[in-house]
Amino acid sequence: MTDTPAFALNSSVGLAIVVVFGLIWITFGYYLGRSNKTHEDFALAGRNVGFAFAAATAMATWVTSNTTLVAPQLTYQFGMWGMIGYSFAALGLILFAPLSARIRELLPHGYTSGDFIRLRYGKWAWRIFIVISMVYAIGWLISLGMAGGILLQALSGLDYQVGMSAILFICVTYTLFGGLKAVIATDFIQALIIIVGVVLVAVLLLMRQGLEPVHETLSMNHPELLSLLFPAAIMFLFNNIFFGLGEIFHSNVWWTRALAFKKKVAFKAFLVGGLLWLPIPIVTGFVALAAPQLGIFPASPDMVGPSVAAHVLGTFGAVVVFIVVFSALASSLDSLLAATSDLVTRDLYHKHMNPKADDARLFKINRRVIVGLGVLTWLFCLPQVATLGALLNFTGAFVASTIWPVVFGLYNPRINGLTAALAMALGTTIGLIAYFSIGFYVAALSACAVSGAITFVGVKLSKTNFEWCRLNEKAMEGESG
Amino acid sequence: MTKAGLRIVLLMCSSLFCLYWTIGIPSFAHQSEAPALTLTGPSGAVSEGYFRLHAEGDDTLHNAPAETQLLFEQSDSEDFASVIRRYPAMGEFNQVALSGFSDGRYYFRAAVFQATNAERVAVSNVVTVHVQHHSLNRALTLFAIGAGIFILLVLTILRYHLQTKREGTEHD
Repeated sequence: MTDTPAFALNSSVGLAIVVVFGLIWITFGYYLGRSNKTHEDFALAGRNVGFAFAAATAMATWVTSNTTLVAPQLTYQFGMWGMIGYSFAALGLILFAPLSARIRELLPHGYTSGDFIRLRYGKWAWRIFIVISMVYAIGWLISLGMAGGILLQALSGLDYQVGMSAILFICVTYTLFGGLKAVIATDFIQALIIIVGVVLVAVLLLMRQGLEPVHETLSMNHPELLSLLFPAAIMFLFNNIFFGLGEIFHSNVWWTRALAFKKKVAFKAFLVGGLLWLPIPIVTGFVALAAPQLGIFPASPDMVGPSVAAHVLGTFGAVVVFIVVFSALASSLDSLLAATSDLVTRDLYHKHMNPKADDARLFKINRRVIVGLGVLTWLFCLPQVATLGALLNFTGAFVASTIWPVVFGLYNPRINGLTAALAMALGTTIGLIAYFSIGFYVAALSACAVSGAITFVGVKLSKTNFEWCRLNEKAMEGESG
Repeated sequence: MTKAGLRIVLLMCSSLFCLYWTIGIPSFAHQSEAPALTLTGPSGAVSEGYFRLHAEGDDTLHNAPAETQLLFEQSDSEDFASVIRRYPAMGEFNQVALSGFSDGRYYFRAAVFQATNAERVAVSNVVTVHVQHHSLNRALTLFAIGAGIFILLVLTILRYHLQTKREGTEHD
């Protein structure tokens, strides 16, 4: 009889690591936050981030529960295609490189992606965009909070609610103290930890396990995982690419980075970040393929990555995996908290509720929003309602509908607000219908296809000729004043 | 002994017996009656090749996980003439996620074993999982649509990027 795989770490050891790293991040956030004097310092790190920090934050933010927990989950479900398809999400960062240079050029004083949509397309498109952004941001925040709880539970058996609450508390606290500066600085350290840790796990796994036994078990007992003609996995491939593109192209997480990086840095930073990210899902995905050979069959597919790594590498490996995944989660959670709070502060509060709010007031509101988002996420995470993959892919229907309106909006003066609004609304609707009627692996693809068709037709029929200078809000205010 | 005394003794004995039965000596309780164990699986046909099996049972699953071990067994026939594969549940979880199955019918049941002597103490009902993948034609059609849109997007971004770069150089 096969031995039941037990938890790799004692629950008190798991909690101790969280507490030690939590204290380090919070102290670091507090130290960096002392130099934040204005809202712009807090929200955009003074728009002065250099290449090394820029590339590291681009890579580290994209290494998240997606790559450390969901990539193994999708490999466990879809086999080879799950692993390779997931690494194609790097295309999102790589294709955002030219867009980021354009964003920096068109919006020298911009704060958020919402700013761009409002100035470029007007209020209706902006409202639809804000709904899409908030659904995605909350969905991603919940998935990250859940991932924290699942990670601790899978590795140490610690109660899901305790682990999830601890990780959320730590990230909210240091983002609150340090703003984007702390987020980018911790991302840099977390990126180094992630790269070293992932390489270490991969090397040790290959040395101890080897490829042949893994291949033998899979071809005998789970043949579809090795098949290149696995139907659901083939459907999943481009869906995942469009999901990744939609996530990056629309999300304020990436727009704030494009706006915070030095002018000539944005293009190179996103390109290098994407190339660094590319091999990471291959490594984390391979870990999942080794599960059947090791006799590990997780209760939920999103537990497979950490469980296998910890099982193969013993207590030391479990500690390494734990630190890597914890760093990955923290680097994304803090970025998302900072970017979403900027969006709420700037787009909802400043532009619609209190246009006369001064810098000090915005600074205060931004911090309150971070706490509010933390509490909201915690409440949503308490009941563990879906797997991480299912939750994330639900938001795919929303974000993929923004790809074409964002690209055309940045370059083509002929696209107007009505076209953009229709593309996003109808794209999302059809994407959701596909999600529920066919499966999660077609939601983003359908949304992107419909949104693209509407965008092309809209541009063909349009007589609009948008003046790019209208995106420079400060210059326009100066002229009218 | 008087009748009243006899009643008191009988009452005490039956109370003690009930108490003993309620608190129980695990080995006696478990040996005398196999606990009920129910296995549930996916309700319809599985089109992605992965699914979850969930076991629900009594004390053997919930109260003494260190003493017992939950395994999900697979057979190639509904009568379970032979067990062809076993999937151990992880830690204290009572469900398992399985993947990579080709088209076909698969038969599963859950079984609880004593960890010390590998003796089976409970067996569940048999669950049939029907795996029927999506049609390959549909998958390849979606793949082709996805590839077409992706190529169009990359070409659009490249064209616009080079165009703005050229215009920027001309302005400089």
